[in-house]
Amino acid sequence: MLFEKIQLEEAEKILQTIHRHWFVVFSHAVSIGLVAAAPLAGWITVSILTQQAASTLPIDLAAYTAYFVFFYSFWLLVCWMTFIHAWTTQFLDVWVITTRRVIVIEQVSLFRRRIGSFRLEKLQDVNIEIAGILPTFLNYGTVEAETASGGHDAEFRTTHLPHPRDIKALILKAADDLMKTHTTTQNKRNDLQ
Amino acid sequence: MIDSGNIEHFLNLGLEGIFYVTTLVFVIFSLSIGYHWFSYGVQKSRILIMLAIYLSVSAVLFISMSLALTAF
Repeated sequence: MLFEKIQLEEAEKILQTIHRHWFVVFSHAVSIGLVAAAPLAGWITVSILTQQAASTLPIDLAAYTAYFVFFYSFWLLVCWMTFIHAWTTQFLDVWVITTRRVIVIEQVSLFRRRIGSFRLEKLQDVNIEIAGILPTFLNYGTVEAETASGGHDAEFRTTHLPHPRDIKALILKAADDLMKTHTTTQNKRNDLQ
Repeated sequence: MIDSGNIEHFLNLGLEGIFYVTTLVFVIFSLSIGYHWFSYGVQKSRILIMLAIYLSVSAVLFISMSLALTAF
């Protein structure tokens, strides 16, 4: 599993794991469902038309039912595998927020995976964008983290994340807590000296 | 000489070929999907539920394909 692969530091704890919003998978499901249903709609339409014109068109559609069932099952299987592929790439896109780091994992395709992370000390700002009617009502949007280490603006940017404001607040709070811990430790060291 | 019996025979052979190639592709796809789910997934319970749904739906479609194949 993923958490066994992420080697946490001593006293580092996972605060939250965030997947993309369910609406992404839902929109995939609707579009694939429409494509999957198209041949069935075509078959029903053709069977109605042949029944209506039975006297002029001597086509017995029932003779081809087995062929239709075979090819339609094949078609549904292709659509089902396409949906599973889409679900997998969405499900494996994860933001892992720990007490010290943010790890951003993006499953671009089945055999293309991008993993980035930054330490909270390097965090400069967290930007969120909620654009559109659906994102506003369903509360999802883009989260982008700017770090001091690089000029790659889109390095830690993920779209369709749920509750972007909460994610921003959580990251900023974790960064603040870490800074406070560092300051306290430094003060203790100074006192000892 | 090509008669309807020959055409039917070759058609059935082609459909069987499609069925076996589909099965092979499905097995390879399922193995790679399973590897990704169990290697990079986060919630094991969610993965197990999804795996059960995935295999059940696929089994229904394969049974439907094979029943249609035997009906020819």
